[in-house]
Amino acid sequence: MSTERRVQQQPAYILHHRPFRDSSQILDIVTRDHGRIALVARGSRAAKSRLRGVLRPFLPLRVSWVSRSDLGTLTGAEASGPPVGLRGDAMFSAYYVNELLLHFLHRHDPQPEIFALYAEAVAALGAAHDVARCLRQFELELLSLLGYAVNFEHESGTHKNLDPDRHYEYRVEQGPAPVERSSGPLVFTGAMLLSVQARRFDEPEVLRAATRLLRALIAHHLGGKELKSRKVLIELHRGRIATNEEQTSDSD
Amino acid sequence: MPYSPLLVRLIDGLRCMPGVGQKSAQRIAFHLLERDREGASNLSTALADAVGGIGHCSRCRMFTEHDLCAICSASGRDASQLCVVESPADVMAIEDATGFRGLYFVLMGHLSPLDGIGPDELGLSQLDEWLQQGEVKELIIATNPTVEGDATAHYLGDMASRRSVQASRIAHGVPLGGELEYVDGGTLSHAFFGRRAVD
Repeated sequence: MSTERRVQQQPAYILHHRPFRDSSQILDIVTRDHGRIALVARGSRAAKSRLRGVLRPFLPLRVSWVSRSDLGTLTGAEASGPPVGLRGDAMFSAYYVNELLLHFLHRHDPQPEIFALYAEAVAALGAAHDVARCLRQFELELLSLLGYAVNFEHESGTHKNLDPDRHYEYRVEQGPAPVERSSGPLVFTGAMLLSVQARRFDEPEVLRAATRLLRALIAHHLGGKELKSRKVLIELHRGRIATNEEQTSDSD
Repeated sequence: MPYSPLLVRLIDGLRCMPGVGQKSAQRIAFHLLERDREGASNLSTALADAVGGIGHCSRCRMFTEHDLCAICSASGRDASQLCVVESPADVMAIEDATGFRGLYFVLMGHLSPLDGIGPDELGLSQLDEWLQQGEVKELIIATNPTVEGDATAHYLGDMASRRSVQASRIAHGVPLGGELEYVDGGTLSHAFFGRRAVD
């Protein structure tokens, strides 16, 4: 017989929620000590539910639940801090961060460091002016905490330190390999890779290089799965670019 | 006792309605067959006609069997105010409660990046064309006060400002007759920071 398990006041964030029956929802949450779990929040969408203002993504929560099977039942939730003021692009980026966690975290696998990293990333996105920088920082830390060794310091195979003046091609799963050509999708100078390693993201070229590298790395580790939040973000930007182009061509 | 195949089909069919489970479906089926066969056959023609005939208004995406819905084709509505809502039920709620005389645009949802619901799914390019025509002076954003509703509102506001249309979002706050002590923190903080001068 399966045993009942009660958890009280666990720090958590909602990653995703979907409606369930008439007035309930199913929450996909990440918790500090119990990893990612799914909970039913019964009656939480009902008109008089006290949980309606609380069960929001990106809000730091303390959550209590009881579980007998894989799907637990929420027994209580309260906000444990003020809401993060996510605006515009920062909010859509925060959804991207959620989707990365939904993909990379397995259920019931506690990862307190990743939980802390997530909390930090959400807070940073709320406060930041530079969304891209927050995202690259998060992606790099996430990949290394997940154990996908991200190496921008040593040559693959020989483990020699990178020569700042040489060109290297970054090979996923291997690392930087010296090449003679100076261009290519993932070809960088040693100096650039070392700057990424040192997270010098206040320099625009370093940030751009990190974006290229991380996009390739994440795409590889997603195993061909397309991120829905990225698709939406691309559509949003396309709308914006389209209007700007119309307006410039009008003024021509 | 097992039911006959037709009855099973009817009960299964009724269960597609929100809030109707096995028990209620059974009760409805028996009621219709026992006491109200006329009502049942009216329902079945109404359903068939509605499903076959009702589409979306070509202008505001509201449900209608015509090209334009009743609100879009009514004379005397103020075309300079456009209110964006998430669902047809929201249109009815605003119509009944506010006496708003402008036009609507129904998104039929909200931006939901994790479900892949983006601007294309919500017909936002259609809204953008509408704003571009220059008739609309104010865009009133009445999406729900959820995180997704906020995201949608932000994007709509951005769109309006690119088309030089003034955008506003409906206020959220303490319910009428409510007591501050019992209002949740999020709502109270919205109400507090969105305070207005007393006139």
